[in-house]
Amino acid sequence: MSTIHLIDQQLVDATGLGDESEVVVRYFTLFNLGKYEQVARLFSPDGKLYPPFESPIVGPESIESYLIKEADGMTVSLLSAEIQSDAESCLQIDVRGKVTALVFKVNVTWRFILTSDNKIESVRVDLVATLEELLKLRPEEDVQATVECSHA
Amino acid sequence: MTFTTSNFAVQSVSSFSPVASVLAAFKRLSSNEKLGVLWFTYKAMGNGSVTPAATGAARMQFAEGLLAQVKALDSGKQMLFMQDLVNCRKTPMTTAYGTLTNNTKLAFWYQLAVLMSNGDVIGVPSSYALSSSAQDVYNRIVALEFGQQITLLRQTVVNMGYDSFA
Repeated sequence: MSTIHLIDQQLVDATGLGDESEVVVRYFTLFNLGKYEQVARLFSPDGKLYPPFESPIVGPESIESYLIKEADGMTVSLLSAEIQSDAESCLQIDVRGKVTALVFKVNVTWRFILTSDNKIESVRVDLVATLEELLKLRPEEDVQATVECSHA
Repeated sequence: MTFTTSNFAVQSVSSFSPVASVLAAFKRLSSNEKLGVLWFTYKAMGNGSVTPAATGAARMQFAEGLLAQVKALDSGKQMLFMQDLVNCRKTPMTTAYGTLTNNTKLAFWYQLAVLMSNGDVIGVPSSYALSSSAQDVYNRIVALEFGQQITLLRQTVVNMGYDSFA
């Protein structure tokens, strides 16, 4: 099945993300279109979605089911993105923005870890009260994320 | 599009998480205590971290219809509807709620709280005081991080109403 190579230019403009992180822009573009099957196919076979304070959702099939159930009706607008490291052959990209859930908005941060072949190894989604709050990982998962990165 | 019956829903909240333990305590409250805790939590979150967004999404049409039905009830029946909702009692209106998607359920409660604030739906009287067990749950909720609070509210409202497919 073919994948739509579709980019929302507004998302690119907001974040300044370039070709090396195109998969991140595709993630949000497809997410906003509700194309959750295609969002899920951006993940590596053992790719993980860490929703806020829930167990990780592992693998494209589970991620697709999860998004159909939990993300339907959400749209994302992005504010900024920062490439945190490109060492150890994997890329970490921190993104800040807002999620509109039908009738209200909340501030959200995403931390993407990409594989060397441009798949999403993991994305960690956190809700923050204010965007002034620094991006921070939940401590118990910090170590895990580092291990994932060095193995990519 | 495939709908798999994977078990992520059952294990979606880690059993060791603070959200899960507060959720368990919340579930043990009476329906009026639950409504009181939800109300005070909503009030406590009105600090700019959750902001209203323009509606009009087609997905809101069923929720809007249900909200209009609630508004049309007298205040006693509005109260009864909310109690039925938190108790998962089967009525035509709680069954309608049960067909909403997860995000629409959360949106429904957000709009309901707005209607309660402006008096279109019976609110919690200003003289209302939480029982000690409800106060304890409320204290634990406000002590959570913002993201945990939203997750808790979400987990709470998706399980309300009557799900005819459950």
